[in-house]
Amino acid sequence: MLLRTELRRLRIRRLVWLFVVAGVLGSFFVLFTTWVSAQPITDEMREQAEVAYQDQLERWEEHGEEEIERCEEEQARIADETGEDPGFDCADMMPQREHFLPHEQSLAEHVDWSGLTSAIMVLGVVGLAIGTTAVAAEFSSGAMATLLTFQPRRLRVYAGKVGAVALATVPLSLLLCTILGVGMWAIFEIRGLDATVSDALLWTAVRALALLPAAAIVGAVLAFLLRSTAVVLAVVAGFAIGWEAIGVGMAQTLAPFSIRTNLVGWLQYGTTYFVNTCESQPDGSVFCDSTEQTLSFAWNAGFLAVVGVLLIAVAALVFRRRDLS
Amino acid sequence: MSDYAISTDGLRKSYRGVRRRVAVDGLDLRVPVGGVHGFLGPNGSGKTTTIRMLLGLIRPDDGEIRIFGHEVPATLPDVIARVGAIVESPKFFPNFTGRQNLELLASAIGTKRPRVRQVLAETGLSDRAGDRFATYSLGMKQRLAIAATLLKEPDLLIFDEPTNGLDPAGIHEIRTTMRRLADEGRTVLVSSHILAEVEQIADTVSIIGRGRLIASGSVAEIIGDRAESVRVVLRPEEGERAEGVLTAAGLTVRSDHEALLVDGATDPADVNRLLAEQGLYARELGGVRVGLESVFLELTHDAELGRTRRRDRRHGTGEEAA
Ligand SMILES: Nc1ncnc2c1ncn2[C@@H]1O[C@H](COP(=O)(O)OP(=O)(O)OP(=O)(O)O)[C@@H](O)[C@H]1O
Ligand SMILES: [Mg+2]
Repeated sequence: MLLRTELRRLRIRRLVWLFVVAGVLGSFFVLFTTWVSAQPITDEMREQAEVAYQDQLERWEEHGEEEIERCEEEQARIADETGEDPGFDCADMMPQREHFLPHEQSLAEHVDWSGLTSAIMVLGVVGLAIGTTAVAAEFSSGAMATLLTFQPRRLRVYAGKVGAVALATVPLSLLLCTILGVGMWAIFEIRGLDATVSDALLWTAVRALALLPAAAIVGAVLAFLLRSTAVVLAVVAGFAIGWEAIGVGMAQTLAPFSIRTNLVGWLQYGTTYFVNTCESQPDGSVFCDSTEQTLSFAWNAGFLAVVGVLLIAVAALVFRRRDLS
Repeated sequence: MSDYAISTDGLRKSYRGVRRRVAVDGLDLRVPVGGVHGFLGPNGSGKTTTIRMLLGLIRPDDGEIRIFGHEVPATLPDVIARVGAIVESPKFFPNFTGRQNLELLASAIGTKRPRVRQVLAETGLSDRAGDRFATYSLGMKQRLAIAATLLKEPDLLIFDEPTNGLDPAGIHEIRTTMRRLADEGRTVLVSSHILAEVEQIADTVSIIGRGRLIASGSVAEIIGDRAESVRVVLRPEEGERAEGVLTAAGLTVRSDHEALLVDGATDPADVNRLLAEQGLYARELGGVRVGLESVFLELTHDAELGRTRRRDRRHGTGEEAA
């Protein structure tokens, strides 16, 4: 009964429709940037690359042998000092034609490198906005208190509102994911680039469907906790900057606990992150090494689930006991 | 079954803040079933806080509440269908129409649509039901709130200062509505700090000050023997002597500007005789009805005084100890 009421309220709420329009526009903006970055190699670029290649090749023919010699000397010196072979491939220093051509992105690469982040941004922001404003409006208008004089069972009210926000955003999620997914594929296809859709890519798109409703739930739950859109905005911004950007940015070992990393992992079916380890050498210099660490999909999904369930439970307990004036 | 629509025992609530502020301080309230019950108290005396506790919007720190015998908040869901309430001011979604707001509430409790049309007509809102709530005048908002409470066909209606900000016509309308609801057999609890209006429609009243019950009962009981006083105006220089004469005769005398007010069920003729015997002749003489208003001011004033006196005493003992 409450769920149906809440769904009806969201449907007649103008701000929800405004966010739907904003979401569609945002998705098309993402497609626009995709269009710009998905550049096939033009004849002009090919010519420029040929000129640069020939230039380098000439130089190589003049000084190539010297450079190989110098490289080998350096390699021997390092091997002497550290007792390890640094493994410079000195013979491979000859210029190669394909190194002078810009890289031609495939659809899969584009999605991995920037498509996912853009999609997370659009779907996340729209979801959070719908969820937060719908619930915060109840507190600011006092309509929540009025409703509670009709239905004093707070947990039912809570479940009804959070559930409604989740359900109501499913069709929107379908719409936006379709625009983004089909749009990106179509752009690569039209541009004549590699637009192969592997099974993995298809599953990524399917898992992306969960993003918007999940963000809407989180938005609603945060609004139940904090009672005002402005405060939710401040907390989300503070978290994004303080934890995601500064905290995780400075100490990469925290990456397994980053929402962003785990969202990417959720979409990519597991992900990797880099940890820099630096050691001081006996001679005083600092030697840094970057090692790649993997995060399994199970970790990603589990971490996000635990965070989500905790948030939902804490907000429910707080709302159940809270004084409403 | 309980005799009371509402009863509270030792109800207590303080708000957390920079300092703990006690809003309701051991309140024992009894609201009989049927009729209009006035819930009176000056600003900040804890009326709204009490009403919020009755409705489960805030949690009491201590004490017991029963509504029609049901313990609140534990079993509030069982009795809420019989209770309609407006707390402080009507609160609805500003961008939805009056009808949409009512329909949402109706569907939340499984009430059918025709009932919405019915309560809109009952409160005279049918014409404007399609307009956004934000565009309503205060009077219309108030009427919409009453319409909302009627969706449930409640046995108990709780109105918190329902006439706040209304013009005389609006006040009259609300009063008539409350009277009509009570005459239909419902219990109406109406809070106010303006006594004149409650006096006219309330069958019984409770007066609170600083979160405590000061007086309760029927309006007549509370006004009691102060209901009639005699107002005497004399020449200014004779005022003091007249007061002495009347006090000596065992009457309670208060001075009110240029006049003397003689309390007790006194016949103006008796007062006239007492004064004339001493060669004092009144310029004006007559009986006046004391309103609840002045009794209220007196009672709440006394409550304040009692408080300061208590504080003084505590202060005194502190010094003695030191
Ligand atoms: N949300 C709140 N937080 C902190 N203190 C509050 C809150 N609501 C009320 N109070 C305090 O509690 C006391 C009682 O307030 P309450 O609103 O119950 O009085 P009232 O009798 O309804 O007054 P009024 O006639 O002005 O409406 C006041 O001292 C008030 O400042
Ligand atoms: Mg009040």
